[in-house]
Amino acid sequence: MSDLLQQFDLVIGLEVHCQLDTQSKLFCGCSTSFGGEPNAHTCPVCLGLPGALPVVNKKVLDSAIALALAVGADIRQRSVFARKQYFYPDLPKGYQISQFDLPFCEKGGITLTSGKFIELTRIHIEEDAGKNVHGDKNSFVDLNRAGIPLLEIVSTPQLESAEEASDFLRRLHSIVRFLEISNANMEEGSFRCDANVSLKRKGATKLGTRCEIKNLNSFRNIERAIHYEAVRQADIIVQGGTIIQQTMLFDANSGSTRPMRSKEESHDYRYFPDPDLPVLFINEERIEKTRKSLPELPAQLEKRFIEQFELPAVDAAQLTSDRDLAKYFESSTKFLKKGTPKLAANWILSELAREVNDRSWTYMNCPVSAQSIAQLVNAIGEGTISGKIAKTVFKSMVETGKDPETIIKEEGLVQISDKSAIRTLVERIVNENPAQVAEFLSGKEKIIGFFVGRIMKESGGKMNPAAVNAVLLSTLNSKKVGS
Amino acid sequence: MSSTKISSLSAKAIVSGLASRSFALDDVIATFVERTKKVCPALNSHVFFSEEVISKQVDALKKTSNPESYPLFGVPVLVKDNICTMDMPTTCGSKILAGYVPQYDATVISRLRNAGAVIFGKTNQDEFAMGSSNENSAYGPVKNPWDLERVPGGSSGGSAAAVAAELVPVALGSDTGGSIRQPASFCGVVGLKPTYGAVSRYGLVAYGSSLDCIGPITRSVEDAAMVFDVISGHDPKDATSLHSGSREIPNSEAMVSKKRIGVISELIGTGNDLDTTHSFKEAVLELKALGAVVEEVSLPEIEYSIAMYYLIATAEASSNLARFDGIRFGHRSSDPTQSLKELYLNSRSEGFGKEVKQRIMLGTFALSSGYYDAYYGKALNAREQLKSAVKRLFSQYDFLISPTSPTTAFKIGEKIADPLSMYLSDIGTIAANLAGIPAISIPCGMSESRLPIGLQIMAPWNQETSLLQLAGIYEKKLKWSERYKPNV
Amino acid sequence: MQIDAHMVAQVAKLAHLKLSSEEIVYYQNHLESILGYVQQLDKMAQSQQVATGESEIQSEREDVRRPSVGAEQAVIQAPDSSGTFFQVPRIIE
Repeated sequence: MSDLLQQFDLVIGLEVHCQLDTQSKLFCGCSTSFGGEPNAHTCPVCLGLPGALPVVNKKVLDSAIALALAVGADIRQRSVFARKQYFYPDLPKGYQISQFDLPFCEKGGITLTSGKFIELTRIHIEEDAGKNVHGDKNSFVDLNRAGIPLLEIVSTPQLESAEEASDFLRRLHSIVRFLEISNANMEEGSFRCDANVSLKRKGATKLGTRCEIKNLNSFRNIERAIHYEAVRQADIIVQGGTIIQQTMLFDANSGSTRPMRSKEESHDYRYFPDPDLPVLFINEERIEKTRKSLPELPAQLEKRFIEQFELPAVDAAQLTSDRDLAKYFESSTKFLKKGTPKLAANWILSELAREVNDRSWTYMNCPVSAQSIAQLVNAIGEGTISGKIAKTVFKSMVETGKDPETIIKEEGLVQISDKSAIRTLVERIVNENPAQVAEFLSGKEKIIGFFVGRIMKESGGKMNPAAVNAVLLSTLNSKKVGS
Repeated sequence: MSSTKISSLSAKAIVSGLASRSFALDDVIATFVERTKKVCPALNSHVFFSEEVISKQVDALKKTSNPESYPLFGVPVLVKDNICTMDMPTTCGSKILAGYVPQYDATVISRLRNAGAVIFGKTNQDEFAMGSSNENSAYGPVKNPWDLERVPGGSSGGSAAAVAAELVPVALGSDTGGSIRQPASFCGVVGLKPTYGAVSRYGLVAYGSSLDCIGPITRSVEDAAMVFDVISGHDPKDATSLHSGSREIPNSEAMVSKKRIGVISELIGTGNDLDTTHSFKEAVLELKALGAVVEEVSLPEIEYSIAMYYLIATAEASSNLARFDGIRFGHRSSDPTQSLKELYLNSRSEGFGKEVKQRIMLGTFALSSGYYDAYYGKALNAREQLKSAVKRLFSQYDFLISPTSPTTAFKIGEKIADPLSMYLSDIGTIAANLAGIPAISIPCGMSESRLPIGLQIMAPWNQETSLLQLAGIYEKKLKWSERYKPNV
Repeated sequence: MQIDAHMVAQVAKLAHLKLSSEEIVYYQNHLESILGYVQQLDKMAQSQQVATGESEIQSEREDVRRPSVGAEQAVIQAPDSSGTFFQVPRIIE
């Protein structure tokens, strides 16, 4: 299969519809809250009743500016809302208010993990349509979603693999979440992606015919869909066929793409500037104001984590893949004393991550607080507990919600590092097990594990392992002939 | 006061008469109710009239403890049927909205109600405001009170006829290419098209969104100014609504002298009938006598204004009327076996009249792929040129004038067969809509056959105050409405 | 410009209007006549003017929720509804 694709360059462009997280809709004050009785969140404007007029939501503009700044796009001083016209029951006015000729911003882009920069074509503002539900004889229209604000983000077709596409999306996803302009929940449909896929002969300049795969709802599915589509197209070309330009749907069960039953032949949307909305004027002052209030973005944050906390790149990347996770980690560092950020990162990325996943927790409202994690890591750093005991403490933290200091105290888990206490126990165990001592002396150094095990058992694991090892070794070695 | 006298009163006189207790609110209401019942059938001016709905409003008004604070207290106001009213159907003169009752009041309606006005019913109009004669209504043509065989003008024909016939002192109309001014001219009343954006369009069923204006039709300039004051002003629900507030009207004769008035030469040519030419000349003399400097000036772009209008207005209309699909409201075709596609086609084709369909077709074509640049795009560009030309003229002149219409009211059926000739008669009024400037029509003469002739005055953008001042002074001098009344 | 029956049918399709064969002929003539008339706009020189609007003041709304009409009210005028859904013949996709 990969031989088949070797002959071709894959050309991928992505179109993302990102739903903005606002209280009210783009052009009216109706609630954007999810669910609710059909048509409960409607008014004359979003119902498209005669005489109603749109007025743009300020927060949508501020969010668009924020995203444009985050990706380094050129914001147009003047952009225009345009009507995209077609008839469909979920489109009450018979047109969608979008942007066409003069979109909100152009260019800018996102740097992939590999360092490759993918330029954007444009970002524009538009309203969402309602939803149709189908019965046997009838269809049912719910306009609660009609008028929800969307940003449409279009990349140039510079992506060359499914993995690049997925990386691009993850980074874009992360940015909008960091900016707090969108929840970007793919399963719920607030971050929808369409992929335009075509092949060209390796090294050729002429682009092939592209097919659009619509409404991919997970990063994984995007990769699967692109892979499948690439092979599908390659097969056709290699057998001498031609690619028909069509819109495809991805079937997650079978992992394949299939053509969508076309609604109609290609639409003539008859775009023209919406006369009900004045030219959208965004001045420097407004852009600067937003720029000042931007949070740190994933790329910057990653860099800072590496420098400030001396984290390895892998850890930094993982921690900054999610806004809440990054906040959690950084919050924990404020409470660190003897514990290192690296150690905190380890605990957060392994033990805590597992619990968060299994128990469907969030980092934002985590029952195990960032401060607690810091305390735990501090205790290890101070030598109060061993790494092994820490796991027990952590389990308790998860189950009881108590902080480590309390748990350590209540369960008497303070590690014993007192050398004389250790020496006493070590000497006893050594004296009680002459056979094993003999084995050690005969060269079987691995038998030390036996002693460690006994000592740990006797001490309930509370003895500082490093200290135990040191004392044990010196005790055993002192029994060697001639020492 | 006798009811004949009450029905002739201006809105201002009604308000002050009620305040001074010269007559009671019930007298006022009864007068106009009776007059409406008597005269309306002959005119076919109304689409909706209900004594019950009127009584409800009057009962509420009677509970007011401080009527003096309501500028239009007790004034009956008719509303063109393309303006949304919650307690009355809003049909836009179309079958597709037969019986449709909006869930909200247009902003102008709320403002009128808050000013103490009584919404007296909905008037007949050309369907979706498309027409210049009120012959395009699904509810029958409206008759001109001066001659029942003639059109009242359009599209606000019902409003103009009702005011002329003294069925109310005030009516609201809408003006996209002249639809307030031309019927005002044909019916011998005052019609004001405000600056685009001065009056909120929220609740006005859209025809040509970048051209539509709501405005008052009255029998005096003073009344027009009063009503304009009440209905104008920024509306946060209309993004095209201006932010400047409403205005005062001082009334000083000194105001006219030395004012520079330009007569648009392209509008006083041989296309006008003799009576109109004559009356207009008299008006010019009158203005000169008042001290103004009046001279001819050319606005060559005006020759192309009809072409621009019929591409821009129809393109916008084709889009605005897409929402009439029989799904959420309005007429739905009744075939139970129809597919969704058929539902759209049948509902729209059954519901819309011929003129509306014509304009939708033209507008759709002008926006369609491959033709946009040659038609709609070109028209937008031309419009900008016209706007600039008008602006340049206003740097030299304070006002621009012309006859409102090339002719007096024509006979019903006379022009309906040839749409183009009907469109061409809008030549006088369209430029003000394209440029967004305020314009008023006031009666300036009478034809040999006793038909009113209107003078149109245009002022610079957002200068209603000066416009109303000049119109008021001219009106006072001429005393036209004191001399003439229709026999109806 | 020349308008043929096919073009008229295309426009009617875009506008979702149903035309009889007489109407198609009627519109061919009507469109040709009006389009012929508006052709005169070619005589106006093309300028680079951009519509600026009279004021740069924006009309925006604060992001605040306002009460909705309510689901029942929303469908009250609907020619056909099911619960609080608008009902139409089955959409075929």
